[in-house]
Amino acid sequence: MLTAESVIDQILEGCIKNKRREQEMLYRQFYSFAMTIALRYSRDDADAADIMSHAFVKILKSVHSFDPSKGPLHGWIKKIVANEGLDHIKSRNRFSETVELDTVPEPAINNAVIDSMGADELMKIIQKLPPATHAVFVLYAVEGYNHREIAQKLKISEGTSKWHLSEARKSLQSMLKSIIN
Amino acid sequence: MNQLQPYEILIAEKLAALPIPDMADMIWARIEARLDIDLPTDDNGDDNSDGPDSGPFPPGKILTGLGLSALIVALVTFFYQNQSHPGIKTIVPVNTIPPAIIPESPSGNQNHSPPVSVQPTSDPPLRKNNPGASSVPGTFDSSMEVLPIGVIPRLAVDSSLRVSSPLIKSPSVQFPPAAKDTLAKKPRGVQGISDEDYRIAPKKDSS
Repeated sequence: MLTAESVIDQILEGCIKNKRREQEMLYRQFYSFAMTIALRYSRDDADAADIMSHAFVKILKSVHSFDPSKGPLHGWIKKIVANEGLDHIKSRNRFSETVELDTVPEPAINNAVIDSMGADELMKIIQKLPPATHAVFVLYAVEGYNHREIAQKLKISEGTSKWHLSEARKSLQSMLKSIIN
Repeated sequence: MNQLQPYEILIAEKLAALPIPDMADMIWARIEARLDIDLPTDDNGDDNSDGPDSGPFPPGKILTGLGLSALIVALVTFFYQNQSHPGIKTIVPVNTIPPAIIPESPSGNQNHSPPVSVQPTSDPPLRKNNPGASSVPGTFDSSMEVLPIGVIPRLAVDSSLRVSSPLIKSPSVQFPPAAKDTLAKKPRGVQGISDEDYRIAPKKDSS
């Protein structure tokens, strides 16, 4: 009896042999998962499509380097898609050093407002953030990285990362208040 | 300070359930195009893909096969005509050919005959002297049939040989058969020169 794991193993084997059919199967198997990640770093659907196409080309070209002993396949794919999303943001905006903060203010935001909003509506608000601020907010609030890790990823200082997070919170508070009003 | 705010946790949960746009096919087309450049594959005959070019009869191979079949049919028809009716003349537009005298071939011709000259006539555009093939061997009809230029008559072939050429479309015209004995041979050689003229006679040594 074929298990999901054995099916994935067969698909990976075909991808390593550069079989177009298995490559497409791998892509479609992880399309929804990868697109969810790509949308977090994009401004719109077209941006997300760019991130997806670049990310999967990298995935399919380097599938032979995937080591199951180091982690699951979806974790490996998520890492590649997220890095491609960050590269996409960097290509549009330079992460220059700005005002550094030691502490990040915590503006009051009504959770009920957020709870009443749809996911796509919430995503559109986040996509309105400036690119660098958008990236820091997604990495911090959605992906769960700390400021040290964000600084390493974006080649910025921890202070700059904290500043961008502060800006993101203030902008979200302002936009959510305008929605309520 | 590094702790997530409750609304941020809520945002993360909401974004995990984000509706996915239906762009899978469009994105895959871009990926495949890029892979065809960076990682070309030669698995058209190996894999069992369901693409448009897969299967035992892809469109490209069908067209190639049809072309080759037509070429083979044309060659077979040509050779068959030459073998069974060597005197068949090519159909030419008479009005456009000036009179010409065909010279003697360099290898010499022991059976020379009067030269061939093609004379334009005032007849209708195409004059055909083509006994053709027929299903009735042994008979010959010397009647001439005139066809307009551009129309290639379809030969009535012997039932033992069926030839179909999809490339040639013409009205069905029956050519009368020709008997071998009465078939006029093309005259050969140059008029006025006989074999005696070509004999090399040793000259007498005067010294």
